[in-house]
Amino acid sequence: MNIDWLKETIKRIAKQKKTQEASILLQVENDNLSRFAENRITQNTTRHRINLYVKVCHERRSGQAETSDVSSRGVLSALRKAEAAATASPKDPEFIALPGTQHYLKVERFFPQTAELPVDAKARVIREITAEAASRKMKAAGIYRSGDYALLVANTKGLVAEHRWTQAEFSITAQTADSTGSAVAEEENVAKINPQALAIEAFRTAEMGKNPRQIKPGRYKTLFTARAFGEMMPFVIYQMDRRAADEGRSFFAGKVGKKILAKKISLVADPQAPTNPGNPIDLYNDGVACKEAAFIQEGVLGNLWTMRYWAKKQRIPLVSPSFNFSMTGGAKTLDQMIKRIDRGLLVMHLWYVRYVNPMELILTGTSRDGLFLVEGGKIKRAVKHMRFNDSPMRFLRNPLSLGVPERRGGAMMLPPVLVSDFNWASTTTF
Amino acid sequence: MKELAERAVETARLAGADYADARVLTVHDQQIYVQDLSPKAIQDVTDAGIGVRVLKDGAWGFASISRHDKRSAEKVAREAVAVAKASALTVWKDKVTLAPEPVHKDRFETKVKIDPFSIPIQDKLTILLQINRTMLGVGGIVKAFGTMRATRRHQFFASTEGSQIETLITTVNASYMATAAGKGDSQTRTFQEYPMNKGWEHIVAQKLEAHAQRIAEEAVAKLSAAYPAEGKMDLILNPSHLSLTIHESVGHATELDRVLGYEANFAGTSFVTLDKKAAKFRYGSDIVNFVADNNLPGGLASTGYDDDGVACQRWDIIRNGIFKNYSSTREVAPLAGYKRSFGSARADSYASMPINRIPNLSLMPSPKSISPEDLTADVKNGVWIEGRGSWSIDQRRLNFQFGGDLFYEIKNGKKARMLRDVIYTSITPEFWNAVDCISGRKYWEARGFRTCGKGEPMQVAQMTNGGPWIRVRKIKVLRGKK
Repeated sequence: MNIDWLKETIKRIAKQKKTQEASILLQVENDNLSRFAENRITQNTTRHRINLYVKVCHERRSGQAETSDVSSRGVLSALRKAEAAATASPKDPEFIALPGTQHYLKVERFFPQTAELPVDAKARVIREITAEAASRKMKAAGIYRSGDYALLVANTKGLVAEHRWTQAEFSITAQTADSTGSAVAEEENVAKINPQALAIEAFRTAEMGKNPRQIKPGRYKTLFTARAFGEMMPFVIYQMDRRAADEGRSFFAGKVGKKILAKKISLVADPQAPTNPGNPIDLYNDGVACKEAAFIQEGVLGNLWTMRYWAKKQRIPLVSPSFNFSMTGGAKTLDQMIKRIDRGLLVMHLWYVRYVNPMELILTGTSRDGLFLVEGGKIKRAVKHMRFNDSPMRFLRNPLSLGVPERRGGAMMLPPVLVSDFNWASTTTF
Repeated sequence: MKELAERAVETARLAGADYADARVLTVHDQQIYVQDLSPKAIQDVTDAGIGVRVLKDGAWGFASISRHDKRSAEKVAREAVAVAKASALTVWKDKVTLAPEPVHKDRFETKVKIDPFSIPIQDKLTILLQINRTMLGVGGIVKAFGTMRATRRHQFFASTEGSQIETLITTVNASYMATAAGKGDSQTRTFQEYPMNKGWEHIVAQKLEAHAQRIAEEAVAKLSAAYPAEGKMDLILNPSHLSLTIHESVGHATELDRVLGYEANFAGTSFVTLDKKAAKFRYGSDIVNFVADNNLPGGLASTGYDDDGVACQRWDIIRNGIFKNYSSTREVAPLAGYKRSFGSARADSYASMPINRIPNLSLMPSPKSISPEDLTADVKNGVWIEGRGSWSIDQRRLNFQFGGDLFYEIKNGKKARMLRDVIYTSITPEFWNAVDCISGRKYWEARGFRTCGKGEPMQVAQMTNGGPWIRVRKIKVLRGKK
């Protein structure tokens, strides 16, 4: 399936009498995920998947159909279903016509060595690492994933877009009798991932985490690794919806143009960011081109993501929703930041983060795979895990320090963050 | 479908598989979303493909493709064997051994009175738009949202052991939500989804439109409700709320694959370690009885057979407060000494390998005819909680924190003023041991989930977690605000 096939298909659809406008989107996925636990591979899953999405619009109505059958008959069947859905729909008061030709940012995210990584090569890496875990009397669990993916979009108004990329991920959790340590990396280029180094990091954290002691919950100076901080930030980004703000139902209501965070904090989404490239096609807005957008500029709330209908209604620029963002940081490494802590906690990873109060952006979650008491600039001992209830929008007003940004989750550049009084609300038993 | 499944299994066998199964699957899913009188999406999804799973030298391999033809079936069968050979590089001990299961040649179909796909889209839209209109007509409401979904999953399972099982599972659900805003604040109230393996008759039975006005008015009332006092107090929890507490603190905690470390890298492990069974671990108070029943009529995991080809069963998880059994797959069951799997292996599509999932797991009602008001009468100082809100639990399923959707203060045995932003926190066994009264069968509801996430790659599964109303003593309550 290539862009020529897509162009031909949209031409055929354009000839259909019932359809005023139509778009098609093809998603292609070829990947393998080798999953290990208890020091052996427990699952090994290979997928070859194609899904075609058809959207048709006529008389301010629209309908969608999705199919995995991309034969001529399958495409026609999906088209008929989308037409039937559109016909059944009343006129949409928020209807917006499909976009026309777009100019897309050039983003290179395809690396053949990732697409071609053999399954047995991953198995050999896992064998080496799990053997090392066993020799340390630890159990290792994790994944090693690699694959190639494609997005192709075309519509009857001349929009044509194609983006192909690769993705690889290695993650590991090392377990002892009373501790865990973990590490993860996700990149387009598998050569940037060093599984052995990640394994050593996980082993070291698990070793340091042995014999944890319980401490009282309360407010502690807390240093978040970039990973831990990155586990909160998607909940902030998700709330950055311009319509929700304009309708008074989000934390950001009435705050556009106002200073809401410390001056040293800026947050931008840029598909061409050299160290954090992203998808240049906005799938939430019928395939329009993603552009660079500044959400926070020196602490001031700039853009919020805005869908096409709302942008038109409010006469404001469209800002594509994106979880591909980069935040400013500082020059200090995590180790240098630890040295600045008189007494506080170092949290390696957060788990099960959820909203408690979306209007105040209060989140909850627990620490995982390492929570350490730091005293006199040194890690003193492991402590038992705790639950937090706090808002990143509170502590980012006045963070003590930001470290060197790192790429997390294959989509975010974020720094480690040191804050003065994070609210650890309750304890658990391990 | 049968021919493709047979072809895949035979190809895998000839390629050297010691065991192979194939699932040939077609899922038809119709989803409708309406927001502020705008039909935001009317989607018709057909997702079809073949997934082949093999064991070779005690290691798993799996391959899948989004096609239904013989050439593709053969291709993925051979690929699965090659993948298994790679997996075997790491398996020098603990080779996979499947718990025995009789050969089944059967067909199972959800009992459906009215086919949900036979109902015109216009009729579904009319209901959702009317609910939108009613809710937006209530002063203070700034946002109305509604959704309706019907899914039909048609699968043919075949294995080298000779099982051939065809299943046709139909699931429906609907829900809606109103958001009120004012004075720099916002509150949401939801008509909680109630998915079941049934037909359109289940949607009709919920009388969706009848609740829209009340839901919207309650969203507005929440804006001016009082915050709770903080501290330990008694809770009265309704079935819709309790389903999530059950799901997180009992359902996931008793999945055997977690206990054995298979999910240690992502979904987590469990405090219900293997020694707990022999030790007769006290999970809850004497009146706490949890039963897994994958034959529950209308239950979301009532599929006749699981994706290991194991017949659906009913078994005890907790009896009289004592932990009894886990949920299991054929792979993990023998590792805990079980001679047969309980049948909880599920894959969310042809492209996913089955994993250990929560069954239809329910807290059993009291044999006595106890009402929610009876539970409340003995509460001096407490909170009444309806519906689901914020939720989070640690990776060993011990420390949890839940919110809700609607709250009332309880004073001297009576439901009093409305509250807002209530959260409570506890440790799983401490919570279930603090349950001192449970309502009768009349108040039991088969609530459930369609989006339970687990596994790598992430899979979503569906299951019913039914329950009555319960009273829990002295649980820590907090305000969900700064």
